[in-house]
Amino acid sequence: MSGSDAVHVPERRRSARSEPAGLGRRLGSLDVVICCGSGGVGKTTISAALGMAIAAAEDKRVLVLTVDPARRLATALGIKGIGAEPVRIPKARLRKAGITISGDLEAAMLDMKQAWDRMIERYSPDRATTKRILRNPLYQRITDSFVGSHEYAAIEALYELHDAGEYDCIVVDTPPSRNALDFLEAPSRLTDYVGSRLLSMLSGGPSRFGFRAMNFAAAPFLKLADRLLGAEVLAEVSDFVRQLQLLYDGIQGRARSVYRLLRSPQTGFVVVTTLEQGPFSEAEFFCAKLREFKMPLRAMVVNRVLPDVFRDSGGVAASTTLVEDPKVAAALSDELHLRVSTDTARFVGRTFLNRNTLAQREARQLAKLGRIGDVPIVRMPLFSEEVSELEGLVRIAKAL
Amino acid sequence: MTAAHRRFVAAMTEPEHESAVAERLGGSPTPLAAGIDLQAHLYDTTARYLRQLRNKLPMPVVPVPFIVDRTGLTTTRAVADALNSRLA
Repeated sequence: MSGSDAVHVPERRRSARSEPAGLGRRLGSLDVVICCGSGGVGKTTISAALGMAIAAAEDKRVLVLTVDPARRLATALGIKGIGAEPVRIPKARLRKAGITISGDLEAAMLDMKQAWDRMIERYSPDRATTKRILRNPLYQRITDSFVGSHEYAAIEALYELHDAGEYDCIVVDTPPSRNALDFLEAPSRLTDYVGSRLLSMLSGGPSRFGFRAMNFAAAPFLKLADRLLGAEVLAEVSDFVRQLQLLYDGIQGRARSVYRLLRSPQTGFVVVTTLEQGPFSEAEFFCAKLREFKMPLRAMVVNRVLPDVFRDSGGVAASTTLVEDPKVAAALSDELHLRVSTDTARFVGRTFLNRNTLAQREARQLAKLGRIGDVPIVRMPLFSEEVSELEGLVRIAKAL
Repeated sequence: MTAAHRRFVAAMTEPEHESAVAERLGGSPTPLAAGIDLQAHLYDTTARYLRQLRNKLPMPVVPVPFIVDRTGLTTTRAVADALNSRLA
């Protein structure tokens, strides 16, 4: 490997598109900031740091709504724990960690069960239906296994919080998804699910959707299910599904309102990614989808970018000599008055060259960011230490 | 990552040696310090997680070394070797 192999992002493009800082002020005027991205890219940390950056830039009441039950975020925020009830991050503690906030910063964790229970209560036509659904043993199982159930709960909680108007800005850390698109599709998916033909078939009776004929078609299926599961279980399923269909109008109406909020100019999406192939491709795809859905993409945060030093051509040349020249260890032993083994010299050289390979790959990915369009891009460097203390989070907030 | 690696890099980047070392190596050794520093921190973090996993999981925890190459037969082979050496 030689220095000439290094791929450099053209300086002109980088300086024109990268935003070194100021995301807090830029997003501070929004009511809702939604952080999206693949699992494992540092979304939770970036969401918390973004909330901190907004509270520092603007005199506003900011809530970070997270879905990550890990204690890591609580530790990073300098608090004992995060629950469904918002917890205020003490200003004095933040000041001690190196950041002064003009507004208020609070954090809360999404309570999945509570969000679903409230949704059932809200959309049920009467208390009896609410009770029947909540008591049905299938209810918890279905809400847990329904694709996008976490996303839907997060959206519901966001909508409710926004509607209540208690906070000036809500930063949402979206659930870790197989596909970040799950978040955008959750409301319509739930509407489709509740109004689906399959549910009508399972409800075992003529439904409000007029699929009477489907029950004949479903007869063999129901007979088989009856034999396998027993009449009692099937009756339970049927009753649950029938109750669930009573919520259809409410859910459909809410989905429309939610999409209006997500498309509002007071909402902003921030896509978080690393430069690894998988998350990066998904982030690109997600940005395209946001445009297609007419939802406002406000910024992209490229997390854990290797520092430029790993693309230094002098470093590459020195490392290559350490790896390839069998006499270099002896020569350096004399020069440094230190016993240097060939293995030690090779290890140090190879360590740098490995990072150089990754840095080149990252540079190629960074060059592709031009395809995303005219969106502020923040490159967050890879910090060698973990973000487990408030000071670490403050460092990220300042970089944002 | 050992103390010897750190001592070596620290010595190469000392002001009195740096220019002579750069001449011998054909490039400045200063960037190498960043590489070793990052490697050391990542190593410490990985070791900590590994300890936590081993303490909490009732099954073998096999560390697969970080592989820089793109996915392919070489990578698969390296992963297989790591699994083989620990699970044999």
